[in-house]
Amino acid sequence: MARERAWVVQLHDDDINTIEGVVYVLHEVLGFPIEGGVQAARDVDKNGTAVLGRYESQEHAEALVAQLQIFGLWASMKWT
Amino acid sequence: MRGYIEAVSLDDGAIRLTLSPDVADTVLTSVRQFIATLETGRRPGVLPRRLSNWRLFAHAYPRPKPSRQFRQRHNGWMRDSLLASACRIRDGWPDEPTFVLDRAAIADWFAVCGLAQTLYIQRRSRNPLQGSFGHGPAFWLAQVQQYVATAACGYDWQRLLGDDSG
Repeated sequence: MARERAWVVQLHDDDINTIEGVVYVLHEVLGFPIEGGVQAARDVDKNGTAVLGRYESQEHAEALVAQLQIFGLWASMKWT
Repeated sequence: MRGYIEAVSLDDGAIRLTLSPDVADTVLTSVRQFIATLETGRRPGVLPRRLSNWRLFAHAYPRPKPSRQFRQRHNGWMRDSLLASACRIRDGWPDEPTFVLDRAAIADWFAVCGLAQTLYIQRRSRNPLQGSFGHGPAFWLAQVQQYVATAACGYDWQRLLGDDSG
């Protein structure tokens, strides 16, 4: 079954942030549990990116990307 | 410099952060420079250069046009938010460099210690998060940020991460 299109918020690998930092930000901004943040950080480390969430609203997704960027993460979004 | 940082999780989600005097001086100087830079748009140094939005924030979309539009919509309030965080840190600076940080203050410290490192990027990069950060004040900002994040999560990181932390 085809997945409905949505705004996907992604996290990208960078030279600066550590696993602990990523886990803290994902918990603070998105409410991720610690283990979920660790998994996302490991996915980014392994694959270069990780999907953090899918959103119907572009405005909502942009607000989250902006919050993540204020905390220094390389977050982006795309329609897919 | 014999730097020292300690961050301890407290019961109520707060943390107690203690810095040695030299690290505290370095961080406070960086915070003041970051404030001045956000207010004036110019980075400190012999040849002051602009701290443009693309140095602070990554592209939000894969394509340039929507990224530019995102910057027009959001980068202004994002800079204002960072400036407010940095001012709160500066204004609350104690006589002795021991801080009790609640959840909001932890967020201020994490964000400012992260992005104030952009003051010290030595090479141009399309991505603000790819550069040579690990020297001078940026080193201590990164260290403080790391200690704050680790204590804020209040977790047994050694058990959780094994040997692949960092």
